[in-house]
Amino acid sequence: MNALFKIGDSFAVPVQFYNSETNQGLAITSEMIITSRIVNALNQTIAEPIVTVYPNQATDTGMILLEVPVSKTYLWKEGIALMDIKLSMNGNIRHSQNISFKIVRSITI
Amino acid sequence: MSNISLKVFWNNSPIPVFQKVQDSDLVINVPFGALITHPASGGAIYSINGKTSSTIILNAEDIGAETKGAVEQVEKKLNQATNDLSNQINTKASALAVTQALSNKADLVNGIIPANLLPSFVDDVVEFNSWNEFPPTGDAGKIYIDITENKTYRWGGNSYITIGGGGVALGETAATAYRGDRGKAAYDHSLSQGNPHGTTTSDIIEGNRLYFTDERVTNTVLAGLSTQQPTQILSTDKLIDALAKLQAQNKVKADETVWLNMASIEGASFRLFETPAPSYLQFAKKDGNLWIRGWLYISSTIPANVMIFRLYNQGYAIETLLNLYSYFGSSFNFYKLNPTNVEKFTMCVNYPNDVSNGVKFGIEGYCIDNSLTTGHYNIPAQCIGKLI
Repeated sequence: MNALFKIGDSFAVPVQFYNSETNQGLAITSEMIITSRIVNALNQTIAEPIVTVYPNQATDTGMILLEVPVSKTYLWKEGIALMDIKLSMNGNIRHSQNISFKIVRSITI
Repeated sequence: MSNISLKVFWNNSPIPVFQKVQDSDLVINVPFGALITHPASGGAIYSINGKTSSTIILNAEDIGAETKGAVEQVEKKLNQATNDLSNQINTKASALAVTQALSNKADLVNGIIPANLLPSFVDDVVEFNSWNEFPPTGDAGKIYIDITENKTYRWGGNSYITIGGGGVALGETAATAYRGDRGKAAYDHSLSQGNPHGTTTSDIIEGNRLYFTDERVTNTVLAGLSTQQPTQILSTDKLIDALAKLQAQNKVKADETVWLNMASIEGASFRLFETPAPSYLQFAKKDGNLWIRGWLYISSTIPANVMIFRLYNQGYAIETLLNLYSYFGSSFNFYKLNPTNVEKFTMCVNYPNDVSNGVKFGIEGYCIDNSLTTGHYNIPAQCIGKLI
């Protein structure tokens, strides 16, 4: 199944950082700065999702939520989009990873 | 170090966020890499000054420091040296202080320290005749006295300041207060009634309003005197108006001629024909003259030069040439009214100055030209002479 997103829907995607060796969530600390950006096929930034760390990292270990308001997704165009998630610690970028999804037209639009 | 991956919980259709983890359409696992926890500046330190170990213990030499205890020994020696030096300084300082104190000592003169050797604060009260004589720059701590005003000052740094507000000294100048006992006496005097000084008008210099004196009253000009009616003088009248009224009354009196019946005048009689005596003679005094008028009734013939009436009253005597007895004084005409004619007669008035013979002063009347027959004779009002 491909990841799809309909134009004009609210963009809210839970993401978990976890230790792949123990398969346990990796608690997000205050030193860890997580940012995200979504670009279209032309590498144009179409959104910078709001990153919210789940407040209770003891129960929702490693969980964050990426959100883009409808006011912006309403303007997206059909096509492939890439969402980049970046982790920084002490001012240095530690890791960055892209997730690809496809923007499709909503029938109601 | 930890190997990190991401789980992306994706839903192709919108569902509530809290359901997306459990009911996600797609979970995307993405390797994210290894996470190494170490200082941001670099890797772990395992070797210092040639020592290599996971745990390195450095000594004083490794860091270029003195060996343990060396500093303590130095401190002890330094403290000892400091104490010794301090004692030496104190000893020398005490001796020097004594020497200096003795060299600057004040020598007694007759057992008294001369004033010029005393410090300023000892001579701290100085007197001046006036604050104007204070030195331009004073000394703090001194008391300056203005003996004229009995006020004390101190030097405030820039000017002299009265001490304790300065108060107000007794005196009789603008800067002093007056004695209370004298002030009370003056106040009591101000409340006294009457004339406590026994002042008379003679003690007061005259201004525009002059004193009352007899001479001034006598010489007072009757300015504003106006004509008044000869009415009664009232208590409310002004003096000048009263005088005007008197003047008017006198004028009326002067204008009036009071005729008196001869019968009512003391000393008057008709000598020969008293009974019946229908005669009606009247006399009046006016302007210093004696006037006569009236009627005579002659009941029987009276020869000429026979006295017809007499008035022995000195108040009715008139001047004659010599004022001698029976000396001719005056004459007047009178008339007999007949049915067909008027007869003219002349009556002489004498001055009966014959006191030695019992004749009193006054006048006597004689018809000197003809005898008078029976009948009525008219005497027109006329002046018969000047009253004496």
